[in-house]
Amino acid sequence: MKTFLLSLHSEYYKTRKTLAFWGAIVLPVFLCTVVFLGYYIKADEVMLKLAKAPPMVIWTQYSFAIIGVMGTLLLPMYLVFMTYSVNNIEHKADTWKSLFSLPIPKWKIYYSKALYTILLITLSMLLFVGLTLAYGYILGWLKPQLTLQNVQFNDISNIIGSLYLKMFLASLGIISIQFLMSLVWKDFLKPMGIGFLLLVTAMIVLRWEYSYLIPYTHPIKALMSSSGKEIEIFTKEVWVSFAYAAVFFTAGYFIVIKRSVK
Amino acid sequence: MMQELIIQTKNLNFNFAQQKVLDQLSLEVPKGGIYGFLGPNGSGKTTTIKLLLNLLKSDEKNIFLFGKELQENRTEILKKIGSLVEQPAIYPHLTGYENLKTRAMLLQVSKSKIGEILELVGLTDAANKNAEKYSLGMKQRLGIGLALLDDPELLILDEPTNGLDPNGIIEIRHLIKDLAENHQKTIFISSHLLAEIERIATHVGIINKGKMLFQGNIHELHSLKTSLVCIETNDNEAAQSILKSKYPALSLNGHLEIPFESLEQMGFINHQLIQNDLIVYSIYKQKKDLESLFLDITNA
Repeated sequence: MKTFLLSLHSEYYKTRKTLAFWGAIVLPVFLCTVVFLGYYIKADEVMLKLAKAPPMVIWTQYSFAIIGVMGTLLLPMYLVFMTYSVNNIEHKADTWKSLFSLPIPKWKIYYSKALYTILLITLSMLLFVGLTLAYGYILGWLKPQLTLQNVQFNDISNIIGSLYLKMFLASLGIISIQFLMSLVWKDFLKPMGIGFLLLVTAMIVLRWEYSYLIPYTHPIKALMSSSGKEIEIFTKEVWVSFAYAAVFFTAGYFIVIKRSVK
Repeated sequence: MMQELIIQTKNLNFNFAQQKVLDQLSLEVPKGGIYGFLGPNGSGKTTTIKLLLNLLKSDEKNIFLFGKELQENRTEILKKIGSLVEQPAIYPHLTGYENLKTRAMLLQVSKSKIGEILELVGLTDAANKNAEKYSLGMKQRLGIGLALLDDPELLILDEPTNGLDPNGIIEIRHLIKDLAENHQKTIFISSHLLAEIERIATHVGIINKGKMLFQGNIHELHSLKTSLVCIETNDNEAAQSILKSKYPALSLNGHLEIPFESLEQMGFINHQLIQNDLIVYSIYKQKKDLESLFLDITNA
């Protein structure tokens, strides 16, 4: 266990000055700030359209400006980028061979890297939740006409937290596939190209009844299947995402164990 | 008494796709000293090293380090090895110190050791500079520093002087000698430069096309050196045919070469040529150097 945690710590130490790490922070900060500024500047126009709407509807509008862009458009590409960045540190420095010639079981190196990637994405999701809420209440304070301050923190944080949790769980399948491709291939074009093709395919077949079998549809489907006050987290696509993650993270283990390091 | 072997491979074979890269390679690296693993580019040196580090997968279980089979005892064996394979594996965005610290974390080596290593490889002053700004020689030394971090018994260095300028080569040579003599490491070093190996190695293995052509200590290699009689005349072709029956000669770059036997033999040759009205410009004995010996061995 100790060597596993040390591997994890060393992953952080290695990446803390790179885009792999900062990407997890920059994206939520950027996206949330842009939406915050939009609402701040256009607060009166927003209220013109949504006059007399209950504060919860305005919260929904505001938070979906972030989660909508994130979940449908950015998230899959962001996962492609993050999974590649963590592996690229080793590809770029040609350090796989030195990592795998250390007296550490190969599976520890593999799983600490995989877990680190998942932790980075978790950090990113937590920042989205935290910043959406914080900016929301700051907006309510700066622009009281938006009425955002009138919603109980517990109510809104529950909804936003659940949405991001669900989206995160629905991303695990994509993470496992992209992680494996990025581990095996040095060339970014391969995981990026294949990831992009699968994403486009997912978009095209989104309405097909079996599209939930394609992992790249899962984040969007996770959002689509979340309406109403109570958000059901463990829907069909989340379970399928788990299944993909289990299969590909296990496959990755066997590939790492069996594979020669060139 | 048999010397203890640190590395031993028994008829090691390895293929990349259909191509045979190693052919019945039996390495025997004794404890202590410096083993020079010599061969031209593409002869299978790096492949051998990658097999020794369990980076390349072999189905055969015929690699033994510290007396133990590698695949069964991978972690235990790798604990005692520090390695530098091909170019040093260094994170360019981290400083020299941080590169060592990343590795120290994984190996659970104390922080104070990092300072010692920086001192040993002469990078104390450059410790806080990003490694991407290092010269090739500095990177190579940092690579050796990384390999030394866990105080390994065996150091495996793959062409550590590749691409270095003469100063860099001398620095690395001193460092390797120091490690063997003052720090009691066994060092396995590969190179395609015989002159480099000749200067530091106590044992030599010569490999070509995946086959071991010579293995032994440096004195045995030196004893293989042969001497030649070199002759220059006004008509080398005529001289060659005069000597043909007794001493078949090789005609090379305007002179003839005949294996040296004795001073009497030289006198006899001189006499024969003059008797046949040839003008002998020069006749002298030449020791064949290791370089040409190496070429002979690898071209055989």
